[in-house]
Amino acid sequence: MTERDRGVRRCDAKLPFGAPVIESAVLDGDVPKDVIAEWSGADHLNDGELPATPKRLTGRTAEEDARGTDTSERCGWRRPGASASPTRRTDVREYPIDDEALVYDPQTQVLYHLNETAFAIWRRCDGRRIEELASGLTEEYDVNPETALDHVSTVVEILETGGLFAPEATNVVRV
Amino acid sequence: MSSGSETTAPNDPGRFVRCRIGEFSVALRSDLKQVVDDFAAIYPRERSDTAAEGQAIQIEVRRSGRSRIGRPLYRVYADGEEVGGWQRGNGVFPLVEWGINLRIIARRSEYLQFHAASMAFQGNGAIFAGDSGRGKSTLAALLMTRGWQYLCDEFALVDCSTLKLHAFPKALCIKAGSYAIVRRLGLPFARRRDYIKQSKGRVGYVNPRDVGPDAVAEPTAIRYVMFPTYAGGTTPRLGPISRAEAAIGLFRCCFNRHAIGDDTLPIIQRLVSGASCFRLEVGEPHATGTLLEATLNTSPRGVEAHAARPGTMTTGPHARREHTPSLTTRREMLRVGAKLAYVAPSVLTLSAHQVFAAASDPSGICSTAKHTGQLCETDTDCCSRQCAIGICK
Repeated sequence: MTERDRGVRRCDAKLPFGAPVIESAVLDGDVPKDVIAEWSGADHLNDGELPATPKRLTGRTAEEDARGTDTSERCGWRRPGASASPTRRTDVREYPIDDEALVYDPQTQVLYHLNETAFAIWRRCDGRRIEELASGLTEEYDVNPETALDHVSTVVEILETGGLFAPEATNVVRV
Repeated sequence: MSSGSETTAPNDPGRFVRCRIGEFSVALRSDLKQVVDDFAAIYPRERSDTAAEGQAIQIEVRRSGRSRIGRPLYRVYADGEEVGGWQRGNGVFPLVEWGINLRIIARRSEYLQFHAASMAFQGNGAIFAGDSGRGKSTLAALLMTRGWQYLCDEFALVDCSTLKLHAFPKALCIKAGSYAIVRRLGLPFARRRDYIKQSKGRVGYVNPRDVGPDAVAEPTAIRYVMFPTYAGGTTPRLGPISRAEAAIGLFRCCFNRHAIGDDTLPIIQRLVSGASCFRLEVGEPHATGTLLEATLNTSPRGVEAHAARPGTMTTGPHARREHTPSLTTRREMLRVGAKLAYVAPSVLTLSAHQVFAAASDPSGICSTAKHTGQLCETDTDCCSRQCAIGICK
């Protein structure tokens, strides 16, 4: 079975944290978690064949994951660097256009384009926990909770990497 | 700034010409008579001896040494600042043109200026924004022959307060690769001479007023923002993009955002809010014109419907938007407990150094993955550099 057949496309990009992650899973909400875990071994992605032994992104055992109280940690696919309770920096400028927005960071002079969903996540970044952000997303959009949590984690991490959140709110989840 | 060997003969009738191109006065002095002659020939109707000297953009061409084989070389100065130098005769005129452009960028901060062709169709302004090589000038030439009015092939000058598009009706600069198209369109080149532009190679010039007395538009409201590309195909394609995408694309193409400062983004925000925004793949000239006119003749609502017709984009990032409900509908849906269709989040970044970067996409981002948040189909370098969501190799 090829990776495409399983709904996961090849991608072995590395985030700044160095851990290989399945970024494609972020963008494909129907991918089951076990597939995500299986495909976390980036060295297996080149030939399109599944690895014999599934690897987990968190480095935890299945038992440790099962004991976790945090849904995303239990699932084992929380982005390692995503802030738990992101809060928007007050000096970041926001320009809504229809349902989307441009966000400009005057410190770094970087302009961000957030599509509708990313903007919905950004708007809610007022200190709420990631799980709450995901929950808000599922209330408004037709998306399953796991996908929402995964997407929220990734968006938060991207924005956090860009320095758009207030530092005192940063609470990096150690996994 | 000038070397000892440089000489200029101020206001020597054979080496001095003054023109008024739209609202912009230009005074050209040149040690190279050919440049003055060409300038006067390309802008015969624009010659003006009454233009205020103090307000005119001062362009000087100074002789500056010789090449190793003994040919004279020239430097070009705009308002005293060197634009470029050590050019042989046929490379000077494009530098003069660019010197004028640079001074407009530097002087005219009442306009937000974009790297774009600007045209008007039935009184509605259209911006065709993008880097060099997108076919802006050729597209402008094509549209002029179809009755569109010309504003500029290099600038979109947007009045910061009224948001109207103003004309800088300079001669269209046509690359050698488009000579045949322009000749087929029946447009006359102003001089039967090739000039060498450093970035484009051989170029020729077409004065818009040679097309007709009404070829140049008055200040006009902006109704359309487009990002043309030329892929070499024959079938043109036109697809709506979101206004936010258009905004980031315009920001990237903005010449003078440092002069405008913090007001740049609010102005762009207002500008796109009143416009329909598209990505255009230019195809066969007349098919492109027909597609544009058919689409723009429809209402904004009709534009989306038109996207389902042959020749327009029906798949990819834009297909989903056709079904995006209006804000009122969305609120109503949420009120009654219905859920909105979900689109994966997408975050694109544009850093300062990417502005004017020669990227292949109007918004300066990877052109393959991005807007929909879909995975990139190709492992292009473009993606890895610029796709903020970090999914591309």
